[in-house]
Amino acid sequence: MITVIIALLSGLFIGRLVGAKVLKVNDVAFMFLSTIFIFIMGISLGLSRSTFAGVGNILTNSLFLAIFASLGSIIFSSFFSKLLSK
Amino acid sequence: MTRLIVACLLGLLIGLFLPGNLNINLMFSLILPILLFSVGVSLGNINIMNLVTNNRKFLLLPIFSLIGSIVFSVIYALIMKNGIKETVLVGSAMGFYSLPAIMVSTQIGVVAGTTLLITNMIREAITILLAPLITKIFGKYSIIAVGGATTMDVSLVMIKEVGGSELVPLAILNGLVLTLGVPFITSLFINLRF
Repeated sequence: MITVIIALLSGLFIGRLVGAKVLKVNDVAFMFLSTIFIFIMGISLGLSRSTFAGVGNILTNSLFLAIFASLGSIIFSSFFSKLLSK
Repeated sequence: MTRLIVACLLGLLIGLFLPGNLNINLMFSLILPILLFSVGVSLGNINIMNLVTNNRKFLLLPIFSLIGSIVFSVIYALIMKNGIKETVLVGSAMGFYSLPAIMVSTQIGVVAGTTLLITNMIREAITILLAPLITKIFGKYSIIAVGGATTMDVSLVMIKEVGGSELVPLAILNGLVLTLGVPFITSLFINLRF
C-alpha cells in the first residue's frame, strides 16, 4: 500500500512539475514496461503447468465475470441517473 | 490490447519450455513501482482540480459504478463458489487491466492476475463493441459506467460517438477518478482479510 501511494503521488508531483514535455516518453515507457510485465506474467503462467491446464477455466470465468461486473455497473449507474434527475 | 494478448501468449509458450522451478517474482516487484510512477506522471499532466470543480456532481458516477461492479462480483463469487477476495479484486479493476493485473499477480497469484487481465480486457471489448446497444437500452450514463477507467482513453471515441460531445468531460472525469483510485482500491483489497 505504501509503495502504491508513494509511487503514484511522486509520479503525480513530477508530472505536474514537468508538464506535457515528458508525456510521450512516459507513455512509451509505460507501454513497454507493461508489455514486458504481461510477458513475464505469461511465462509465470506457463511455468506452473497445472495452472496452464486450467486456462480454459480462466477464460470462461473471465467472460462471465466481465458480464456480471459490467451489469452491476450499469444497474448502479441507473441509480445515479435517478439521483441526477431529482 | 492486442499487444498485451500477444505478449501474454508468447510468455505462456516460452514458460512451458522453461524449468518449472524458475523463480521470476523479483522481476514483478521491480517493475511495479515504475509503472505506478508512470501512471502518476500521465495523470499529473491533467488539470484535475479544474475538471472536478466544473463537474462536481458527476463524481458520484464512478463511485456508483464501482460499488455496482463490486456487489455483482460478490454475487458472482457466491453463485460460482469462487474466492470472494479474488473475484472482488477482479471486479473492482473497472476495465483497468495492466496495473491491477500486475499488482494482483505479485501479491495474490498469477491465476488471479491473469483472470483480472482477461476479465477487464473483455470489459473493454464490451464497452467498445456494445456501446450503441447499452446506451439505447440503459441510457447514456451506463456506457461510462461499463467503460470504467478506459473512458478517458480507449473508449472515449466510442462514448463521444454514441452519447455526443456533452459526455466527453464526464467520461474523462470518470476515467481519471478510476485510474487514480483503482490502484489504491486494489491495494486495499489485497491487504484486507475476508
